[in-house]
Amino acid sequence: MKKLITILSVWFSKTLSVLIRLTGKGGGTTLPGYLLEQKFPYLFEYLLEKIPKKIVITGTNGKTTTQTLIVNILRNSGFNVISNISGANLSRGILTLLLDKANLFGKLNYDYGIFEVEEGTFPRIADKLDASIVVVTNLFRDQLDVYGEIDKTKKYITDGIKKTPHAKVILNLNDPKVFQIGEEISNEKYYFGLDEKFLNEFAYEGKYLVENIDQIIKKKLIATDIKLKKDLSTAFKVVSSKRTFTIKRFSAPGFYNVYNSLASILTCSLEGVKTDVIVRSIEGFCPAFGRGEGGEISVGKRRINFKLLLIKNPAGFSITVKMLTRVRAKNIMIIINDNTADGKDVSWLWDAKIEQFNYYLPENIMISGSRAEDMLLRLKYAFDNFNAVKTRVKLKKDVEKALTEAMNVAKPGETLYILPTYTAMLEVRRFLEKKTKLKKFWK
Amino acid sequence: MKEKMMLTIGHLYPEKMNIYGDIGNIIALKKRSEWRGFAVNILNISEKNMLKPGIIDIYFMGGGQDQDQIEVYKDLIQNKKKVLQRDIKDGAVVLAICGGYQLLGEYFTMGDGRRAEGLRIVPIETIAPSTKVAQRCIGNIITNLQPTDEIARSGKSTLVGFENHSGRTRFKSDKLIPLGDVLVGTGDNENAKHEGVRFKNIFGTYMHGPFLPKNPHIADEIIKLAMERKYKNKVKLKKLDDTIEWNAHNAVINKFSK
Repeated sequence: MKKLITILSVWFSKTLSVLIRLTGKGGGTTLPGYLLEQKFPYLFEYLLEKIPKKIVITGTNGKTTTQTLIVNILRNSGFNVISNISGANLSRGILTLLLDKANLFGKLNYDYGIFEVEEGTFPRIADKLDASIVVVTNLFRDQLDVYGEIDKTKKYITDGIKKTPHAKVILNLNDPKVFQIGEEISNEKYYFGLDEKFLNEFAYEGKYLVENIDQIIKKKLIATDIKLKKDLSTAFKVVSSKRTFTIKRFSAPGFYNVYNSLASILTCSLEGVKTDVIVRSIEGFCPAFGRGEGGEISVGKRRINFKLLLIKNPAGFSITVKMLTRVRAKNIMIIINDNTADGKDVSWLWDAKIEQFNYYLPENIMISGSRAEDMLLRLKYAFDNFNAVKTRVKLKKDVEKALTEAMNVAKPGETLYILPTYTAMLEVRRFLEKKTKLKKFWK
Repeated sequence: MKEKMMLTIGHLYPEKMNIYGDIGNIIALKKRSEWRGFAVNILNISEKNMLKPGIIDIYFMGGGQDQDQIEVYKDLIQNKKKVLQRDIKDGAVVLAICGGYQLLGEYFTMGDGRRAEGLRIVPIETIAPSTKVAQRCIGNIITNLQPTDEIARSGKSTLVGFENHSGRTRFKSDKLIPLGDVLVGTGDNENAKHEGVRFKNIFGTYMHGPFLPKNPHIADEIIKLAMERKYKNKVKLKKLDDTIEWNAHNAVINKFSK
């Protein structure tokens, strides 16, 4: 009976997804799972059972990039991998994916399932997922209006890990809140981190409850000699107790993505992937879905470069602003929406260290989105002397109009850095898909 | 030459009690004072710091997570209560948001039953029905100042913000005057239809984060009250160009008004 229902659900889901895409209402990445999840709760487990190894990535920032890196490395080593790649990271999104990828007999023929799982969802589906590795990227303040408090998010993740005591757990060594998770669990633990010289780039929360971490923690992977280049890419050395190797160019932007690469390297090393395959995969990586993807666009006879840098919480916004001043960015566009996926509360704009723009003030700043007025207000209070530079700042609520104008203002060969919240990013992508060869995200 | 006028802001527990962008209020007070030529001194007051009377002109305390709130309450009552009571009696201005607001009252009983004793400066009590996210009051909120409030008489009478709290606050005295009447959102509790409190020179509210940036009339009232107390003179603040502030304020009203 379960088998029959599974097969019927697969057929239903596939048909529905195709219909959603045909009508142009989106990627159809969650609705089928949402409809079937409550009716047939065993579907999840039944489908997942067929995948021998599952890896879960959770934490507030960097899930998608870490996941994409792991998928690339494993695929480059010849494995057959399934993953929820579109940021559909609630249980309904994962279920939709499984239904979509199952063959018409309800079977999934894969070696690995790599799932990014939203923090609050993780404890609810941890036992069904039964991961062999759990990666915790970091615990920044994120979507606080969803869970209320960051310690609650920490507890969700800890509870999830406790439900899978056999999983190896990979943790961010530099994030005190993530380190505290390690103190509360009895799983086998591995750590990744940056050389301490680079730690002032990040505003981690909380404090360490133990001392001499450097000496206590032996199983760790550390990045040193990190260099940030003009195009936001990095180069760095990876050091563990056993070996050292160099990543010559990693195109995901900024220092924070070095963390994501370390998490993926550690995960795949534990799975026995050879170093040369790992290095090749990291160096050949193209940034995922809005996380630093870029390209060229024609505006009349001119060609402008653009980079998409998703912002979704104060830590990420602060890091991005710092990075942009380091590369002396001239053209910037910030788009703040307040839909559910962005967080309805825009107070976080005041926790972001926008004041860092005073180190290098961009020449053109375009503000857009449903809460554009809030962002403009934030800039007024962040700049040392707003009145003297207010002609550099423009506000246009309509995203397409704002984008068009921002591109018109940028000089040929310059880069427009676009900083959208999540749903704003979807709007920007839709616009750019029309104008350039940016891939549709559900492909 | 006339000496530059100066304000001292005491930021209580800036590390533990700063969630949801509460720092925005300090930024607003500082900038709006500086734009008028006043000097601003910000003192961060944590558990390790001693509090001396007569130094702080404006006290600010934001919201925090339950555990941090318990630790902060303890330190306040054991080490800082007397000075704070004395300064408040003397007319010091207080802006207390969320956890800070609850602390001014008699007690706060949390969703898991833990009880934190308050300062008992304002006759209010706060009880959270549970720890469930679904039972938190979360969302955009719009209120109307009391018609008797001088700030309202000067023109703009609305307040806008975002609330996110588990506790329901009840007034224990009929004479207590709320800061605003709720137009959109929950406010102090589901039944009362009021939000926040005005008591002496105290402003208490659940509107967190950029409360003062988006409500410049309140920011200026706080600066004015602090200046008048400190320099024992009527103060008329220089008018600023607040177009950007009111645009942000009105955008909330236009988007979320019923």
